[in-house]
Amino acid sequence: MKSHRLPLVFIISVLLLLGFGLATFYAASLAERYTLGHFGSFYSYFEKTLLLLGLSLTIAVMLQFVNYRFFRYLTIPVYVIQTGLLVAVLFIGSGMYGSRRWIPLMGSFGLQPSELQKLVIILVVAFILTLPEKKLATGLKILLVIAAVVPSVLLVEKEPDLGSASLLLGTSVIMLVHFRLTGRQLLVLGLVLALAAGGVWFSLRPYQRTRIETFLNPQADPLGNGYNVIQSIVATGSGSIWGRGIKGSTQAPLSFVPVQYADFVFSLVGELFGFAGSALLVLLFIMLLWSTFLVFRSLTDDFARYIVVGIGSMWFLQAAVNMGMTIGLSPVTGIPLPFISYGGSSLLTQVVAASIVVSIYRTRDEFRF
Amino acid sequence: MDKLQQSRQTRRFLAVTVFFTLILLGIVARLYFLQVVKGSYYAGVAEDNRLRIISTDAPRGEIRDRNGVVLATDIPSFDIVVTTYDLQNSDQELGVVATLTGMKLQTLKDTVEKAGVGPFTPITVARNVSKSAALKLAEQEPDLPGIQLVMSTKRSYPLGSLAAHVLGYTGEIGSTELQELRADGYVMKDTIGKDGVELQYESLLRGQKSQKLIEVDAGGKAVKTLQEKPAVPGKSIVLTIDSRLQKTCEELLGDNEGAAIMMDPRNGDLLALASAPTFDPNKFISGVSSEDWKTWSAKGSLFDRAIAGSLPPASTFKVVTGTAGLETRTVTDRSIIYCGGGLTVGGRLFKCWIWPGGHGNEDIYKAYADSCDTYFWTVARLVGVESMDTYAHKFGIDKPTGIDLPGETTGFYPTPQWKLGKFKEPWYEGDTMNMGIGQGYVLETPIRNISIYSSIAMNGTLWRPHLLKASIDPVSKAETQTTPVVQDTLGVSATTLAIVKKGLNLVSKTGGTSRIQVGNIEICAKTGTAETGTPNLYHTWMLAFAPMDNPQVAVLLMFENSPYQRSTSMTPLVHDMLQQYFDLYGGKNGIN
Repeated sequence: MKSHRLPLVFIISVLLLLGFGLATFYAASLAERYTLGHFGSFYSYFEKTLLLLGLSLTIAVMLQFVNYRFFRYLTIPVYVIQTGLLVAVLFIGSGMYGSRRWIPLMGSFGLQPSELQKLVIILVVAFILTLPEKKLATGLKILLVIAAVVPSVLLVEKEPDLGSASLLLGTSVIMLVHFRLTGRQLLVLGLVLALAAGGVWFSLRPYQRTRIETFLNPQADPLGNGYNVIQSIVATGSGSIWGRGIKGSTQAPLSFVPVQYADFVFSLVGELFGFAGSALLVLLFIMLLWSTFLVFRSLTDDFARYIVVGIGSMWFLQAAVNMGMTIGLSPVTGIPLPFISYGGSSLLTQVVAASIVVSIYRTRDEFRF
Repeated sequence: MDKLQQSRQTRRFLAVTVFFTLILLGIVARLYFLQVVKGSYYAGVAEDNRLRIISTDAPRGEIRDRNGVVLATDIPSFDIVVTTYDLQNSDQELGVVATLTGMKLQTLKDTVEKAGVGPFTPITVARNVSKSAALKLAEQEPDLPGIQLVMSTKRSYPLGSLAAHVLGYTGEIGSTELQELRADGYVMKDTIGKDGVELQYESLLRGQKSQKLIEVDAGGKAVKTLQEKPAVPGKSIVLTIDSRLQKTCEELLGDNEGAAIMMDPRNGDLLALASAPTFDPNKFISGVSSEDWKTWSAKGSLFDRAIAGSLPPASTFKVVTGTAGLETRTVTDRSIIYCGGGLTVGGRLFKCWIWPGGHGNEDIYKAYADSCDTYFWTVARLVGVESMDTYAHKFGIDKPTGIDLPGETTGFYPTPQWKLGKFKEPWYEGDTMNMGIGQGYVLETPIRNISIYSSIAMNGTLWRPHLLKASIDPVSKAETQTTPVVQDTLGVSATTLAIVKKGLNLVSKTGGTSRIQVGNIEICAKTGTAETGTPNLYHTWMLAFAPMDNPQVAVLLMFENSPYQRSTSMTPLVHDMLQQYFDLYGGKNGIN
């Protein structure tokens, strides 16, 4: 047995990202106080994030006492419960802009099952792909993955949350890419996906199509759907090299950018800390991805390897889509920036995911089933 | 999974991670472009984003008469404004406004589109909405998020049509005016003086709008006021007009076409300046109906005859002819000309008005008193057209008086060259004679004619006729008095003018054409009856000033297409004007 050393670079990346998020909210609340004369909503997001972070980190530490291999047995029940919640949220959910995404818990806190589902789907796909060969042939495994993922995608899409639905799909596809598929099989998979994308376009709600069209040309409708993107680009761009700081920032405290505490948090970073801060944040994500890859490379257990691939892909997809949306490179979707955006379910999911990676690394050389 | 399989998987994840990294570096490149390359541009946009200037109209100055009677003032009214950012369904919301105000939907849309302001800045789309429309809109306002009813003011003329041509009216700024005046801070839908004193003294009457530089949040809600400049109300102005005299003048004119003017020859103060038919300027504020337009166009109600109507001055012109004769020493006050009822020149008989009778032997005093045509024909003929033109020019017939009203026109006197050019006909002696009695081609505006008599009254000094007596600062209440200006001096000897005045004085005496008595004041007067080309239809004039040696007031009454056959029939009306003046002002100045 090898030593149980911690994946230090990985842990440092995660902690730096979490710290970056907190610093951003704190700076935003100071800017808000400077402009408005009193603390405003950013301060309350800062406080709530502190609380949620405490909760998430506690859960993360507790998870270290659970061997990840044990998740094999939890996968199916958790998947069933989660799917149930995804159904339930359609009936009892609440949310903004006519969507139903949250199951209300206490006070202003709510559970967003689609966030947790991101992790659950990774576990399910890893579970299916690592079922014993004797029991299941390769083709059947792929069919089973599709059977497991598609209902969740459709349910999340129904909320409607096209972004999260696409993310579930995207993460699963990248995991499949790491399955033992030949180049030709990958090509076939790509074709099938392209056809599916065409089908999805025609099933989209009008506002979703508009969002994608707006992404292609935000200036076409500067006060309607393009407004968010333009304001977000303005806020980001206005940060220049070193940022406008606490005294100079205006777009954030005056709430020109919609949902800047969550979906558009990257524009907050851009305005407050400028190119220096934004680029640093992107570099932190690159560091996270490479440290995740290093963890992956040291693993021999297939179940663990698939989980790490899934988690790394999820982080990349979320980060790329979210930051891209802020600067007009990808369509506007409700995908949060991992570790940074305000949101309890998101934060909990990401911290738990990181905790699983740490746990996998620590117990990588233990007995295998 | 075997080792081989796993190492292939590792290579794949390495490739994927490299791919991820490249994409994230692409994001860094885009950030570099946005924040470093275009950073200062976006910083500027961000500033514009949060700053707005909100301005509100300043109250317009009042217009009062010389005794403080209010002639024009602002009263509360309702405006409708649109904030495009808040419009949910612009066609439906603007449609409601269109229905309530009777405006066209397209007009409203154009106003909103062409306003050229940001989405958060309210745009005034309708002013002075009727009370009923305002009430209905107020009820529906909760369903119309982009539409707001705001309190505003509108112009009101409490005395109705009194002095309408003097006051003019206000209205919404036109697009060509706006182009010229944008630099002065005018914006669409602003109120501006359109005519009369409202136009002439726009710069005094108009206040400075309040301006507030505010920081707003994304919803357009004000967060902080960064700078504030309060509205400065417009200056109030005091006119030289005495509304009592003005009222008398307008009553004397009635619904006839004509003009009546009362002026202080000592300084050019216009005590009354009336033109008829007239109109109610309040109708311009609430919106002129098509019937009103029809009536006004048919009657020429909007035309200010007092300053823009040019008519043959007829016998009132004899002061020019007489002056020309005396100054050129063609005649003296002792020269006698015989009137046998007419004069034959160039084979044509010119009939004096007394024809078939005759005035007999006339000196210049008697010639004024009975307005003998034969006398002045002879003088004009002897003086010649060049000298007649010289004196017509000296009396300023071809020049504006400089009255402080827009739209003044000048009169006209003919020259041989002009006639040749115009009619391809040479100048005949008969033309000179016709000119001598103010007929034929000579034209004068009433304001010029009263100015001529005023300058005679003042021994050759013409004070510029004016309406602005003073302006009052809205804050300090300090009054700035208008300093009277000498517009012109006749350059005619005092002796000559004394002879003309004495002749005019005889007009008002027993034996004169217009016997007037007001107390025992010495009055100078002259009448004139101009042919119109239509038999038995005349333009009639009468002018007067008094007292002769210490003039205080000059008056003019003129009817175009007169209800009277003879100008002398106007004598009682002019008497009333003078009587009222001396009743009001005479006592104070020690007359009688």
